[in-house]
Amino acid sequence: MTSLAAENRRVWGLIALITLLAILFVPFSQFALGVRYTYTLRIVSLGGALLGIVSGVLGCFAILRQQSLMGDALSHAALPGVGIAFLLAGRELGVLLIGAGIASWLGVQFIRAVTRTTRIKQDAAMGIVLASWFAAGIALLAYIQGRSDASQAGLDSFIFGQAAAIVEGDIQLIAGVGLASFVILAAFWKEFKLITFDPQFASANGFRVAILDTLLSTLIVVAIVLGLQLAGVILMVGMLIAPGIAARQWTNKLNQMIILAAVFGAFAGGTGAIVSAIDTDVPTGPMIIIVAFSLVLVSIAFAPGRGLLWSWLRAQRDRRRFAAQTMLRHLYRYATQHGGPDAPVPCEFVLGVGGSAATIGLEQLRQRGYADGDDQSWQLTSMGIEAAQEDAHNQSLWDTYRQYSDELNLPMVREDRQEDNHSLLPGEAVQKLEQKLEGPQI
Amino acid sequence: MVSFLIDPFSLSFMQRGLVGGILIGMTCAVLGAFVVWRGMAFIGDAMAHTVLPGIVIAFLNGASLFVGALIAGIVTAVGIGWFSKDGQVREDSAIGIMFSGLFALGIALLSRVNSYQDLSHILFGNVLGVSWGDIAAITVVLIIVGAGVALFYKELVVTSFDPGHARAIGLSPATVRYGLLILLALAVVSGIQAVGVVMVVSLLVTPAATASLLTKRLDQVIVLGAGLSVLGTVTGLLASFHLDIATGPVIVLTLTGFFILTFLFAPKQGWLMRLMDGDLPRRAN
Repeated sequence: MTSLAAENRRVWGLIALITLLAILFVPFSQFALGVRYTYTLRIVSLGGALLGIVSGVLGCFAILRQQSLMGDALSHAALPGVGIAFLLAGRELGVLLIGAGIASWLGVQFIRAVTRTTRIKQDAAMGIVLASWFAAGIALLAYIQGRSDASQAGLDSFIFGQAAAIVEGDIQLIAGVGLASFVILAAFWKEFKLITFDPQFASANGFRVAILDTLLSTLIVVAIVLGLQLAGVILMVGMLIAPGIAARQWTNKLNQMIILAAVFGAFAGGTGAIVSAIDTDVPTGPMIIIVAFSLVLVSIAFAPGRGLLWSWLRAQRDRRRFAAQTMLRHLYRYATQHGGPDAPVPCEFVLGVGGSAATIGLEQLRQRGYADGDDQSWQLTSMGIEAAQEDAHNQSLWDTYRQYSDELNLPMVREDRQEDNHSLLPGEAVQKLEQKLEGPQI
Repeated sequence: MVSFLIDPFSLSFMQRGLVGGILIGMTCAVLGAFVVWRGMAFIGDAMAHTVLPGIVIAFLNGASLFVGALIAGIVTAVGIGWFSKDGQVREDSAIGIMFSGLFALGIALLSRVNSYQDLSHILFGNVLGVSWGDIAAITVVLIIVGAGVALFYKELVVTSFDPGHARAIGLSPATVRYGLLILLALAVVSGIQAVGVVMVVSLLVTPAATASLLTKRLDQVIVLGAGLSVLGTVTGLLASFHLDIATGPVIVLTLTGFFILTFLFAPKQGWLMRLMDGDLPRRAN
C-alpha cells in the first residue's frame, strides 16, 4: 500500500512541477530569451495553452479507446469543410470550424458504411477517407486562392497551423467550447469511464452505450476541430495524443492521467506557440508537436515504474541484489556439507556455480562483512553465517506459506522470495507460519 | 475527342509524368494488396510522413535524398515496433506519435533551408516534375518490389493469413514482416513523388481495396489493383491537365471515385445489389 501512496504523491508532485515550469517559462523567456509579451503574443500563447488543455484532456479518451488513428483521419478529413464554409460564408472562425466538423463527420459515416458492409478493414477505410478528403481540401484551397478575393489570406494556415492567426474573439470561442465540453465530461464522468474501460459491462448493465459513444466521439471531434487553426490538419493528431501518451507513462489512474495530460498539453501549446511567434519561419503546429513529442520521449525514458531507464536500473539492481544472496546461499550450503558453516569453500566451486555474477556477489558479501577470501578459497564470517541461517529460515517460511496459506487463512500477497516475509505479511500471519514450521507435523 | 485524350501527351513533361505515374501506381498497388489484407495502411502512411526528416537531413549533408528517405522509412518501422514492444504504448498510438513527431521535426528542419518552397512538392507531390533519372530510379524500385513479391509470394501469403501455420513450417512471420516493411519504404518513397506524403496512403490502399471488393483471390487483387491504379493515374493526369488543378489531388480523387463506384455497384459486395437483396446489415456499431 505504501508504494501506491508514494506513486500518488509522485504524480501530484510532477503535476505541480510542470505547472510551475510552465508559469516560470514566461519570466524566463522575457529575461533570458528577450521575448516581449506584446498583445499579439499574449493572445497567441494563451490560445495555445487553452487548446493544449482541451485536446490533451479529450485525447486521453482517444488513446484509451484506441482511436488515435481515427483522430488522424478525422483531422485530415476536416480540410474540405474549411474550404466550403469559406466559399459559403467567408472567413469567420466559428463557421469554418462548423464546416470542418461536418466534413469530419461525413468522413466517419463513410468509414462506418464501408467497414460495416464490406470486408475492408477499418484502417484501409480510414486511409481512403484521409487521403481523398484531404485531396478535395487541397483542390478547394487551390481554387479559392485562384480567385481575386482579399480575405482569403491565412486559409492555408489550416494545413500546418498558424498561431499568429488567432485573435481575441477566437480565445473566447476556444474557452467557451472547451469549458462546455469539460462540463459534459464531468457530468458523464462515470459513464465515459465505464464505456472506455469495459463497454461490455456497460451495455450489460443498461447503459446507453451507443449514445454515450457518440457523445464522447463528438467531444473528441470538437477538440480536433478547435485545434486545427493552431496545429493544422496534418499534425493535429500529435496535439491530440502526445500529451495523453506522455501522461500515461506516469500513472495508472484516469483522473491523474487527464490532469497530467492537460498540464502537458498547456505546456506544449503555450511554449510552442511562443517559440514559433518569436521565429516566424517555423510554423506553429510543428513547433508545438516537437515540444509535445519531446515530452513523450522524456516520459518513456524516465517515468518511474514503466520508463526505460527505470526498468534498466531495476534490472541492474536486481542482478546485484540477487548476486549477493545467491552467493551467500551457495557458500552456506557447500560449507555445511563440508565440515560446518565456517568451513572454507574452494574458489573453483564458487566461480563455477556463480557464473558471471559471482565476482559481483562475492565483492558485496565482503563489503557487508559476510564473507572473506582470496584466489584460493572463501569463508563465511559469523555475521555471514547468521545472515545465511536467517535467509534459510525465511525460505522455509515461504515454503510453508505456499503450502498452507489457505489452511491457515493467511492474506494473499505476491510471493517474493527475495523479500523477508515479515515485511510482506502481517505479524500474526508470520507467527502462524512459525508455529506451523516448528510445531508437530500432522 | 481523340485529341482531347492524345494531345496533352505530346508535351514532354506530360510524357514523363505519364510513364512515372504509371510505374509508381503499379509499385504501390502491388504492395497495397498486402497492406490492405494485413491492415498496415497506417504504417505506410506513417512511413510516408517520417521520410521527410530523412530527406531534409540528406539534403543538408549533400547525400542522396532517396537513401536518406529510405533510412528514415526503416527507422520508422523499427521505431514503431520498439515503442509498442512491451505494451508501453499501444501500436496505434505509437504510429500516431512517431509520424507526427518526426514529421514536425522534418518541417522545422526544412524551414531552416532556404529553398522552402520545395515543401509543397513533398507535401502534395508533382508527378509532372519527374526527370528521366527519377524514372530510372522508380523503375528499379518497381523491379525490386515486383521481384520481392514474386519470389516470396508464398511466404507473404502464408504469413498474412496464418502466422501460426507459417511458424510451424519454419517461416518467421517477423522476418517476412520486416522484409515487407522495407519494400513498403521503397514504394512509399517513390509514391511521394507522385502524390506527396499526405496522400501516398491512397495509392497504397485505394486500388487494392477497390479490387478486393470485386474478387477474393489475392493474385487477382494484385493484378486488378495495378490495373485500376494505372487507369486512375492516366485519367487523373488528363483531368488535371484540362481542369488545371494539381495532379496529386486529382489522381487521388479519381482513385477514390473508382472505389465509391465499386462500393455502390459491385456485382456481389456492392451496396446496390445488397440493398436489392435486402442483405444490408442493420446492426448498430
